[in-house]
Amino acid sequence: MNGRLLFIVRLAVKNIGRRYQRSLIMVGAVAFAIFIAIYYAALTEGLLANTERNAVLMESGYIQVHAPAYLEEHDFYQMVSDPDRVVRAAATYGLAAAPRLFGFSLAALGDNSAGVEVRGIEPSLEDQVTRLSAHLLEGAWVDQRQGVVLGNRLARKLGAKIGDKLLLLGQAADGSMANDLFRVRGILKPVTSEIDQGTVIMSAADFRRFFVLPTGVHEMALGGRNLDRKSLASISAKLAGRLPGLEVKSWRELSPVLARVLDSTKGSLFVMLLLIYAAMAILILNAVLMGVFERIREFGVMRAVGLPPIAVFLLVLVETAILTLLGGGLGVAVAVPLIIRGETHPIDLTALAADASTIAGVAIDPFWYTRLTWEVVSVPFELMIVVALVAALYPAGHAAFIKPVEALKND
Amino acid sequence: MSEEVMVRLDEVSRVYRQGTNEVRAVDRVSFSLGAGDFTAICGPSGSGKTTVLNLIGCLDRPDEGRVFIEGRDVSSLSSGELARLRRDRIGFVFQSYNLIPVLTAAENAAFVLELQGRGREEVRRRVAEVLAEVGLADLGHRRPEDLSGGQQQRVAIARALAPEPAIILADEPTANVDSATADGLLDLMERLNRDRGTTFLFSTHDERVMKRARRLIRLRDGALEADTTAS
Amino acid sequence: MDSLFITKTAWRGVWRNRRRTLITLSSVAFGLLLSVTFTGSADYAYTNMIDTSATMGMGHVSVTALGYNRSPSFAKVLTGCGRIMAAARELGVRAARVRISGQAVFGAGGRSNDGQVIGVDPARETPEFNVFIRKIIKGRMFTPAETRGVLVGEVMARRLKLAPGRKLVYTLTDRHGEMVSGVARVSGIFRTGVIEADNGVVLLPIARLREILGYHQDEASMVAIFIADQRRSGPVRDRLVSILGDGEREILTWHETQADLAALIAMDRAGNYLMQFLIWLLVAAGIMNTMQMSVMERRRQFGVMQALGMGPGRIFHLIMTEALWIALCGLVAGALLTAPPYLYLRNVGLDLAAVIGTDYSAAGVLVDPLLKVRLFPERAVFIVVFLFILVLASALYPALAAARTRPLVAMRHR
Repeated sequence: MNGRLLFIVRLAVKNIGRRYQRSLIMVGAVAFAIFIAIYYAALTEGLLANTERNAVLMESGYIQVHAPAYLEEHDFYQMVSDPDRVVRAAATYGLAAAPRLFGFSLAALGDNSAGVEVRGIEPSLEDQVTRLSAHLLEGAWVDQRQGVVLGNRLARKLGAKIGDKLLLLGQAADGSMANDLFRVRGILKPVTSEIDQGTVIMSAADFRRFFVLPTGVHEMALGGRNLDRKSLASISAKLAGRLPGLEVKSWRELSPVLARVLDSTKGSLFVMLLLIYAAMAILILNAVLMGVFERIREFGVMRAVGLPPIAVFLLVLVETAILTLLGGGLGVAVAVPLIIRGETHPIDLTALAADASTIAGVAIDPFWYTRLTWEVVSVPFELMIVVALVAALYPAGHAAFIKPVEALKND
Repeated sequence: MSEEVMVRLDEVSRVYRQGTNEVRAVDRVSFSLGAGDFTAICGPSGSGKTTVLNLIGCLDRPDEGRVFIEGRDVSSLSSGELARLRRDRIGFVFQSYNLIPVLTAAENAAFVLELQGRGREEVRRRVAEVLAEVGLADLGHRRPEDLSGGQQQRVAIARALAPEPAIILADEPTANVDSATADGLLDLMERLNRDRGTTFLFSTHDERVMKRARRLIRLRDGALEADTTAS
Repeated sequence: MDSLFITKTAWRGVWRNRRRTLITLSSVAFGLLLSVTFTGSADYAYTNMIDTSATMGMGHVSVTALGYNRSPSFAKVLTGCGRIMAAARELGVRAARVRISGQAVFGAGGRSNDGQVIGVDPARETPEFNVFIRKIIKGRMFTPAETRGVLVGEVMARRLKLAPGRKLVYTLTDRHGEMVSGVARVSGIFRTGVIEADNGVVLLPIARLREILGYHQDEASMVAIFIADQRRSGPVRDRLVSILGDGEREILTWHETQADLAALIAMDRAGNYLMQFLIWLLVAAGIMNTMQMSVMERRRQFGVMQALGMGPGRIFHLIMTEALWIALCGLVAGALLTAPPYLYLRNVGLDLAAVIGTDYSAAGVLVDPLLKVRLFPERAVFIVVFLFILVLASALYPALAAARTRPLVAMRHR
């Protein structure tokens, strides 16, 4: 049987070479379709990764720990008991823990004012969990000097520039009126709509001084290494077990809408691929069918000479498979370098969308990066082979079951 | 036979060069065809009969010498003018695959008339006339696939006839049909030549055709070997 | 040559190979189905979001003081609201509402929250043009008599432990930059489903706000104008500008006031069109391939035609006419294929709540999980024209190849 198969394959290769113009057309079409599919998949992956990155690495971290009911009520006095315990527990899973403090105040600059959420952070620890410090539009990050960093929209709303003195008014922990001037040190790029619209970031030291809150922490954000979906779920569960009395949530639980959006986008990507491939399948069906009809005489001769139907059937399929693989290979070869380049040179959409927009509250940049993963290449490629072979079934069947007499009448 | 010269070849050659090799498909051939001639060009394969026909039919240009159709030197004509010349003054009957498969016999016959932009009534009238001439009066609505080989050739003849060309060129018209049909075709063409004075030029290696021709031009290796007129 | 003859011959040429032509038509039909569905569903979603977003504050077209959109504050006062309302009525817009809006801090029971205050006239505001009133889940909207009423979002209510009847303190800076406070009792609680709104928007009686802020009767932050067809936002704005003339005011469309929505729509639309274009490219490749094959098969025929005197131009014309027929038949096939799903999606829609949930928001606007389509006439025209151009363009190369056959070479075949 193997010898026969080899014979068929050699025959298929010869046939392809003989009719190289036709073959070239099909290879070209497949290459084009695969290229589109892979590139589109890479763009979608890039969008998803970017959005997830914005949410997780910029803001929430992978896992957050709070006092129970803090998320619901945002009570200033509901603090995480024994933050060191959290830090130790996180360390066993290779995660850093960044403490955060939250409070409300009125911010005023000149004629403008806004209610803001003040966030106190420990810069060195925060840096281990999020990349917010590198996400500045202008200015510098928070450090030991007194100063604040503003969200993008907030800065615009207040008309704030670097160096301006921002007045903050709030209610301190001891009930007194807290007010102080803070120099605007930096302005962030768009992150999430919450941060963009109304967050003022300062050092934990400044926060404690302003709100008269010497100890205590409202939130511990954990991160520092990449956690895929599975490890995220398992580590989150284990931490919850090790920290009774505290509420442990993964970012997926904290932002279920975002999680769902990202998941469903993967689903819609699949639908897109199917559509591209449906168009390609029609093309392949056409090409293979025509190829069969053109050579109907040849096939008739083969059958007359004694080749069993299955051999003819396989011949057409093998030809299709070879051409598809060639086309797929070509498409991949062209797409991958472009995708790699796209990872650092994004498509610039600022002409369309000067502002960042948001999805489920997370900013999406008007720069479209691609992202190369194994699946981005393998899924379209495998799908293509399946589609091509399915498309070739009918023509192959037709070729296999011609009556030699009929076929020889042609031409 | 009238004295009006329809076609004149003057030292015509068609040369193919392959590197340093030179192949003379037609080698300094000269002859004239008058109105009403019924002439066959014959010779073994490779003798240049088809090439001579192509040159007269303005499908090809000579490398040496000149071709005159009704006194006009075709070398001075652009490809557009040549196309119009073919359309109006030359009729073609090929060996096979003459007809356009998607058109009916009547529409095929009308093809050149339509190219000439004649009015619908005139086209209809002339097509009916020529179809009757070739004996296919009732088969105008049939498509080529529903006609026998001989019938298809008749339609081709009708088509060639319709615009009343200076000359009808037939390249081995009987090669693909059985002998009875061949005879029928030759009878038809002879009659057309006799009754209407249509000039015919065949290329052939079929003895029967050669016997029927009133004048026989024999080629060998591209050159004129003999030019005999039957008495 | 009679163009009827060419048309007739082209038609027959197309159907000579029925199977192949049907495959080609099906790919054109497929492309049409995709385009109509993609474009229609996008336009429906966008219109939906634009209209919803308009009811969240600033309308399709808004008139404000200069610089208000960039950084809204109570110091930026819009004067002459009466005249603006009259102008809006003159234009025949669906509705116009006078509103005051700005930033505030809210407090209750020792807790505080920040957000936006929108002052509305309960006598004039209706659920149709005010999403917050529309989505009340507890209590009700305050009446004109209830000068201390307030409408609060569900998330803020939870954070500040508010229920209908409870007290809420709000603090804002007035037009002179002075801090002022007010007290209100919760009349009702709304849930839009968008967290940014449910945690950040509070509705107060405009009369009370005028009092507190020191605004005159004819002053406010904005006049929000609502129109029936969001596509006409630009023209309406322009007409309003010409009626009201130059002055110390800003007349903007939702493109500027909801810039991130506009950005999202622009990007999404670009991606949408790109995807359609790519699929059409594949369809075109298929058509070109098919026509090329069909031309090559008929090489001898074209040779004969040229021998008979048919010029290359006419042969080109013949093939292009075949392409025209394919486009027409493809359009018909496409229309037949598209009609059922289109009608279904137009009237019933596809419920995608299971996939994207009922709380999916983009650019701060809730996305309706019901997938519907709405094909605007100009889009339909565009798609049809594009289809024709594409099919004809695909046929160019094969048509040229056919026209350029040299009779002698061609007739050597078969």
